[in-house]
Amino acid sequence: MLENYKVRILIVEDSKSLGMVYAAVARQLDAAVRVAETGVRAMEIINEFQPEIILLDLWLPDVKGMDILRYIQKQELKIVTIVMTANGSVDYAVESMRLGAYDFLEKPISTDRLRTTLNNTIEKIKLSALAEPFIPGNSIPGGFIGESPAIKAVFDRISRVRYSNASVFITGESGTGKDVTANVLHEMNTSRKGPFVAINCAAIPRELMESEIFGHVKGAFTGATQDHQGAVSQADGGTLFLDELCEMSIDLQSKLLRFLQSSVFHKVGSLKDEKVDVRIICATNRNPMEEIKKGRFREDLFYRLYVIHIHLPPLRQRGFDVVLIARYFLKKYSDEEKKGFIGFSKDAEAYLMSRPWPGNVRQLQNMVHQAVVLNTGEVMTRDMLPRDMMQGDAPANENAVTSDTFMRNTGSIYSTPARFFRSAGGFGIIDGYRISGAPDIVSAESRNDGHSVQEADTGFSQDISDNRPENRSAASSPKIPEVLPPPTTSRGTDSFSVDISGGALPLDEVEKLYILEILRRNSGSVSRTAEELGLVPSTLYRKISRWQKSGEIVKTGEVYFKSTD
Amino acid sequence: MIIDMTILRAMVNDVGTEMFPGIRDVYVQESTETIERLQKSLASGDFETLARDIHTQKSVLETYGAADALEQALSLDKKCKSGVAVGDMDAEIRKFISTLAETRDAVSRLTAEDLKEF
Repeated sequence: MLENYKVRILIVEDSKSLGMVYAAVARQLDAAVRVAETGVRAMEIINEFQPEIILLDLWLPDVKGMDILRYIQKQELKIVTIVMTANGSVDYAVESMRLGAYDFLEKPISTDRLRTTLNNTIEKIKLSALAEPFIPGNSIPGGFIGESPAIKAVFDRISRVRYSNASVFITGESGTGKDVTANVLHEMNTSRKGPFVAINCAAIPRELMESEIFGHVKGAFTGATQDHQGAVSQADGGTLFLDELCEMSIDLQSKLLRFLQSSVFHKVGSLKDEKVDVRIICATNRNPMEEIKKGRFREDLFYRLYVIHIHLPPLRQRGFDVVLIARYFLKKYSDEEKKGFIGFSKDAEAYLMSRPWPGNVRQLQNMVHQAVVLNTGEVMTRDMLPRDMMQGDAPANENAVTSDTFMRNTGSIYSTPARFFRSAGGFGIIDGYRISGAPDIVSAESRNDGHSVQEADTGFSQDISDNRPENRSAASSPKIPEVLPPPTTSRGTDSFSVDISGGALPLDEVEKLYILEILRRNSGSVSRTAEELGLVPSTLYRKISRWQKSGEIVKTGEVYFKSTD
Repeated sequence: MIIDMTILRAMVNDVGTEMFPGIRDVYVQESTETIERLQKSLASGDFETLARDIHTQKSVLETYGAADALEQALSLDKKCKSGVAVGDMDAEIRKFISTLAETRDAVSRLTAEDLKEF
């Protein structure tokens, strides 16, 4: 279906000859293309052609390109705008991004660069077409909200597997929407007519769990005064969702495994075999590999269930989705509580985006609900947000499955394992890590960029505080852990190194070097770099602008260099 | 160098050599219109139109590999941004117009065959 779909592109460029060149490139990508040489003509084409992508020159003969951006934003048109200008001022870039531009290209634009940018944008549009049904308001079940690449990868996965009856294993931190995902999977599989039955294995006393899942006959145990249909019977023809699966006892795991192998079970107290047709979805916020290692979870059961894996990213990896979800809950609870809130202030949204959200969507939901109940007004400002609910930087469950720990152990397609190792020369090799905290502590937070891994590996992270210069004696040498090969990804095996042989660098210097390296790899594309680094593009533009103004970096062509390079 | 054939050839091969005749003809027509506007702006002292045309030509000329004209456009663009009056750029603008005409004529003589990569 998507292979035949032509994305509609409008090119707004006052030079007819340049417009032809850009149009030729766009048509090579199998898009439907129109060209406008003036702002007025562009507006006409926007209304009649309804483009999905606009390549917009900022300096037009009749209107300002920024005014067209404002119009698109005000009308809330679903158009991805890529701005072009020969004026390389970063202020233009920041302003256009603030007005909703998706990307910013500085002229002259090479055909290669244009092709890459358009191709990436077209792919995202097509992915959005898959994800559209999952945005609330379109009467599609589930209530997923999000536009971030991380959650769209989830939408794509759900869409691909929706008609399958294979078992699904959902992982993710607490509050990321595992139950919502299970529900959506059930609703989207229209081939199954039976009900959706959910069992929370953590909420049921262990001694009653077998009965809850498989049922019991009258007299099976004290208190069993009548027959009871277990969850598997109730879910016949439909879906059985086992939440918090790792809380299940080992004995019951054995019985579950037998059931999964044969679809046959018997109720507690009965010898009669019963057969049902049930699709199994399970979820956990624990790390199943850790549970297996500790002998608390059966490895054979895990691999029986782990046919399709869906990992839900934590909210902190979803960028602007935090604001979209918060807005949704603000409207929902304003209606429910009969309050008049219509939106958040800019500083409130900035504050929401800055929080780590260890409780994820559930925490955000509760916070917004409380804020609505306790306040009145039209605009929810920062000081209305309850501070006591915003604390915490680490997942509440220390054994929680964070994306990097689970992916590292299973080689899931969702992220490149993050790894840190140090060579004998004292250089710090940072590969796939986002640098946070103290200069000599590196946090192991992987990118959720969807690149596949060629190997399932057992990477590790290491706190290097013991190797800080002040802790090192002259005679000692840094501990050298086993040096692991860099992960094999579709991007090759480049690594990024920082020379700290002369002492630790200030964190902001390391950040600058890292950003410049990622920019270089992306041929100077700020939007792609921002996406990879989990930043809003305007944030990255502001950093670059500040460094350029202070003379710390210069730009040559499409590449930024340190002034001292 | 009026036309850097390496740049022009790379661009044309990228979009497809079969596109060149159409692109060439549009460029030639556009150049003619730009030259006319520049002459009018020079005569009337219309700074705004002059500055916009020079600004636009930067990208066009670089895309087509028009090296000499590009160099002149960059210099004029810088002067326009600094607010130099049209009258003070008279000689330079005339030279630019002349180079643009040369460039246009050079491009008009090219065929798709000239631009095929070896």
